[in-house]
Amino acid sequence: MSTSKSSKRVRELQDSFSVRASRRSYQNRGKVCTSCGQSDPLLILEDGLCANCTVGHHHEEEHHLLGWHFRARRQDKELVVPVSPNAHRLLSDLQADHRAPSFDDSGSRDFLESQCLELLAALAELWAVLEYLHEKPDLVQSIPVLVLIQLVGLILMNLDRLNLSKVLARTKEIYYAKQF
Amino acid sequence: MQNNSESDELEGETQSQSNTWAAGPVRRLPAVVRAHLVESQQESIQAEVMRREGQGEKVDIWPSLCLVFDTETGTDEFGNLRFGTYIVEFFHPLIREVVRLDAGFFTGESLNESERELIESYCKSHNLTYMTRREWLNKIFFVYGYKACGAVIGFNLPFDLARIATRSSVITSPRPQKPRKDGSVFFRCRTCHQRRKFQLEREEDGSLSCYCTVCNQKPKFQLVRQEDGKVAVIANAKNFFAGGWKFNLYEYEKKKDPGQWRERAWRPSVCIKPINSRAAMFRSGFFDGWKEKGDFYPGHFLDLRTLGCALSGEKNGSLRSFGELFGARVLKNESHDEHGGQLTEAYLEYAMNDAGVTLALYHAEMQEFKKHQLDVTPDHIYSGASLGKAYLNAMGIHAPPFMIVADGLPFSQDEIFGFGMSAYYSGRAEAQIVKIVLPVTYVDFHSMYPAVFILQGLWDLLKAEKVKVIEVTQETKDFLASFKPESLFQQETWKRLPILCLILPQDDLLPVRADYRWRKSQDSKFQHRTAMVPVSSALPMWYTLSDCLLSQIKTGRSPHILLALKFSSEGSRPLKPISIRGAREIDPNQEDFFRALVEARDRLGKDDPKLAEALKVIANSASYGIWPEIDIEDGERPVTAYSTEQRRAIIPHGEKPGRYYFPPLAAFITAGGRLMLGLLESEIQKHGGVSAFCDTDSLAIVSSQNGGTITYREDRKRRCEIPSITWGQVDEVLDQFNKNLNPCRSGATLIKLERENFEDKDPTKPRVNLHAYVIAAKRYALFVPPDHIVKPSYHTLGMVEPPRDATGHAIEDWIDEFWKHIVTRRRFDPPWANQWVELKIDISQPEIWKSFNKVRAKAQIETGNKRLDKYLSGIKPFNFMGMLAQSAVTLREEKLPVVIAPLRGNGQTPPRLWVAKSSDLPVHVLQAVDEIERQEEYYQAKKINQHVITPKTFAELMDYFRDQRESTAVDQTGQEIRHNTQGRLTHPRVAISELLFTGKESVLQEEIENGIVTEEEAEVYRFVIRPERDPASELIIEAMRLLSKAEMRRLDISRREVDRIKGGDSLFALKNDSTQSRLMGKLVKYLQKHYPTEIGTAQGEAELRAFMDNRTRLLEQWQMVKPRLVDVSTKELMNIVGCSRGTAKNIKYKRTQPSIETIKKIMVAYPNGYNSDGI
Repeated sequence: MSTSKSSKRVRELQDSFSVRASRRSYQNRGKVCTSCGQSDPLLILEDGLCANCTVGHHHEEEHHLLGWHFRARRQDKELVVPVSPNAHRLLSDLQADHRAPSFDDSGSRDFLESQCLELLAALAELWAVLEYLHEKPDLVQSIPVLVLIQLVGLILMNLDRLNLSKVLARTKEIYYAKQF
Repeated sequence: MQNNSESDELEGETQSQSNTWAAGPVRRLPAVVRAHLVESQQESIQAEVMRREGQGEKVDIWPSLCLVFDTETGTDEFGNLRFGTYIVEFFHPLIREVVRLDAGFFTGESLNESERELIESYCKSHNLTYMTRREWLNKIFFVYGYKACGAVIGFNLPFDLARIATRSSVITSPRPQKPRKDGSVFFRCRTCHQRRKFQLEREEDGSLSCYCTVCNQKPKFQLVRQEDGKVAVIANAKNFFAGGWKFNLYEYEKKKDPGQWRERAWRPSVCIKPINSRAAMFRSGFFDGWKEKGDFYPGHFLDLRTLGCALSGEKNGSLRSFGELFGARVLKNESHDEHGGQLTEAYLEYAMNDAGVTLALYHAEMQEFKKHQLDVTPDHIYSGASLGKAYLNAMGIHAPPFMIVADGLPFSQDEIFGFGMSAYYSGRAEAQIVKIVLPVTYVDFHSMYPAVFILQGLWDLLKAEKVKVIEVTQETKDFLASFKPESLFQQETWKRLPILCLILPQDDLLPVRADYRWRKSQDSKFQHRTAMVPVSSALPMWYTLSDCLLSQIKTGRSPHILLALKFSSEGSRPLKPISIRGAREIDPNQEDFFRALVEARDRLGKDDPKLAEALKVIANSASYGIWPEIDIEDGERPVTAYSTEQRRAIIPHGEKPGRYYFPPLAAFITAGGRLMLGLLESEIQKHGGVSAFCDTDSLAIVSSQNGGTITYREDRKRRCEIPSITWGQVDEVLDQFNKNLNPCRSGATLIKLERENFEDKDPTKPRVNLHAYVIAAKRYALFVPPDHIVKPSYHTLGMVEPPRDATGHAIEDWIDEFWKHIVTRRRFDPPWANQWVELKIDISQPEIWKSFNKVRAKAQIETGNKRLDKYLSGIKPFNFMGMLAQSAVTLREEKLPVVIAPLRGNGQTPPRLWVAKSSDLPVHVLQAVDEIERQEEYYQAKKINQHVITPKTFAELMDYFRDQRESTAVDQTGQEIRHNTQGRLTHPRVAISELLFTGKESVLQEEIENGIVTEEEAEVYRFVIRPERDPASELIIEAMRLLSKAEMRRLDISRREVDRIKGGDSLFALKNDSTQSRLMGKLVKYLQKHYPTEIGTAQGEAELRAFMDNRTRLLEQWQMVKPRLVDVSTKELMNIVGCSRGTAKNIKYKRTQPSIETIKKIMVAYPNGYNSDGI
């Protein structure tokens, strides 16, 4: 393995959710948000406040469900979900584990597949994060109906071309990490 | 001044025979007592107690990510890495499940290309990751173990870390430095990460501090100015790990020179400090690239063997045995034991399974650990004592009680601790009847130390807000005067025992620590052992009241008490309720924690005996082991030693008090144990019985079903008899103890018959006719006639590798076989009698490793990194080696090297390559058995310049073992014990010639006894502090300090001594009286000859004082004149002194002091000093 590939792999590993979460748990051990008393080490920032308190409790941030890996869809406002700053922080960390598609043809079957499973994974993560933060009651409001419609539409339109079981399996794989 | 000679002196006349045991001449020995050592400017223990009480335990969490790895090595003595397996697991906080992030293999440099390809293809086919060692360290170990702040986990982790390392080094303390003229010293700055100049300054409280001249930051370490003027660093993290190991792990490939690798100095090393053969402390080392202070991660390294031993109370164990004990999901498959063999798919599968087994054990041990519900991470659990401390901490006891001294008592807290340390002696282990087969009942106290802790009411002291020391001399004398042994069967009496007594021993039976050997070799220094002996001393000594009572029970006389100090509790700390292993809730404010612990153990013992053993270890170590706990720190340092008196000394290593250090408590507990054992002996004697041996909390009572006498022939003329009491009488005595002194309510007995007394070691079955054969203390066997060994002693045999059968497999029960021949006195002729004796060495201590440093592999592995090449070709830390025991009968008188070889695997047969650990010459081990053939073989080997080694055989080991004798005892006539002495032994009468102070004993004691390291190599671990010099000696040294170096050299004082005297080392002492008088005479003669006008006519001291006055005056005047000499022309100075131009310039400009003659000439020329007018 060449040095550049090697260092890229190390960077990717260091940015992965597991490494970030583990490091934050250690660095923020025993710390409590000085404003709201939040004691979850994953949510405390360097200034000793949680993300919600840093930005403001009523502030909502826009989370792009596909993240920066899908540059072509970055402008799609319908894929943006309003979430709390704390949730956004966790979701962004989780997105670091997702890999960018290695193809450019946005009309190809592979691209569609990866987009579908990315969306499914993003929704699964969103669900898990909101549950973790006890923000689940707002879930229905926070996910635009358009996103769901688009996802369902995508699947229905490409049903003949998509292997749905494969998509679901890959989604599970991304979310639950590699199983041996 | 006292006589410092260490040799024994037998006093000619026998002292008055007041006691039956005390016959024969009196041995005059220097006694050694433990001292409480305080470093200069060290925070006082009580101040630390106050600070800790406010702080509590630091918050730490156990990482959610863990990297488990295991290594496979070659079987040669170098133990290089072949390949390793790893698994990374992460507890996902969102889904609350453990997920596996990665698993795979990494290969070491010693594998060839085809073997690597095999592993790579195996990984591909099994969906595993494959990497080289370097890649794995950079991508997996660094990322998960350091960057992710994860836990690194392994079974016998130090061994595995040493395999994956690139280089190892021994951590040393920063050397003391002499400050420069501008008052600066150079240290590595933790903020700048470079060696920087530090400016010294004195704080308001008088302590020394410094700051970095670049970043102005004050370091965390403390500074201390030594007596010789140098500045030493104490108590920083590096210093704490000093004496341990540092492993550098990471490398990078040079861009300009592909294939060449260098170390990454900006990544952390791993530091390991071994505590004992089972436990070590770990930490990431500081490194160059660490810029942000908050970013440094000290690491969490968990050795599952250490945690397993601590949780189970086992002394050792394997991956499988611990897996079974803790109920691991997967157990190790031990069918494949061909380590180092050819790589096959089956071998790789076995290796990958090993990592899975380690992971399963980790989960199982963590499950058990979590039951204890303690606020401590598992990597900080080194033993049962750590668990005990964590329990105390959990209930709110963060430190020992705060001690105050009553008004009117002229003692400081350090002095009280010194008295406690002085009275502290370990448990009693004695052989009382040797080399005769005796019917015995083997009894054992159930948790003796917790029991005496509870009986003496020490829990009240521990939970007290304050402990007050008060004088109770008269009350104690009255108590002793009215004392009757029967009163000890009332528990209330034991509550009166926590008293320290200063006594003047006069034939009192007391524990004495001394070197009891009759013959001492030249190079052998200290081998202290503690024994109960009738002792007399002109010097007062500290003992506990328990020891005084035991002496009174045995002698019938009260010791002569000069002073008695009582520790009484005042107030009570508010404590939190806790739960013991999640099973039993206790409120420490209401009940004794140790009583609850022992009772919990008794209840658990019925369901889970193995884990009940763990609670026993916690109870024992927490009730006793943590009070005298001391951590050793590397580096010489000046200390004040408090014991029977106060002495100052420079000791070779630091002794840092443990968290709960409180010596008086330790002294009360061990003394209570000795009293309990002595009371049992005394009760047995009342029934007409005797004991064969005792060992801390167990006693072998000579008894049989129907009683009677055992007759033996002491010599040709005399026949002796030993009384044997009946089993019923023994039971009667035990009942008395259990009825009256049992402090627990769980139904368990205080003292019980050991399992060895019953058939198949099952207490529900009938008793067997148990017999004992004793050679010396801790060397005994219990057996059922004719030769069924029930309990052999492993002392000195435990380190010997088992002999092999014809197939090369180890004979595991060889120690039983060995003892069978001893107890039946049969001729020793098993098939393995002529096999060589080999000792198993674990190279965990740097002192042991240093002696193997010269051993190098002949064929080096080329890795592209010279340091790694060197590391791979040498003996690595934590390797296991076999050392050949050498015969006492050697063909030539010469100092032979220690020879080593890799440990032999099961099924492996000779020949093996033996190498000398400190020499490059090849080794030839004599094979011939016949004497003439052996001579011939010897000369043949010598011709080609080889070390010729005569190996010790098991037959020879048997002869040596059989002939061992008890050095702390004498025979019935008071004479030294011979190899064939048999029958009853007695105590030698001892007169104490002087009191020496010592610190913690060497951790390498067993290694020294077995010849693995020499006493010199382990020197750093032993010292004695002798009495300080007297005023006469002080005067001589003071006078010598006024002489110039040249003058001192003319007095035949060595350069080293001259430097120490001139350097202001106030601890420099004249060795003894004769040296003192010799130097005094020389000094006076010298002064009279060279400076007759300066000294008077009176002899000795007056002359010295006159000389000192004159010389001091002269030097003071010189100090005034010297700065103004720069105004004198060089030519004028040349004329006055009569010297060359260069010398005159030196006198003018250099700071060095010229000779006294020159000073005198200048002072004559300018009697009133020099001024600008030249007058």
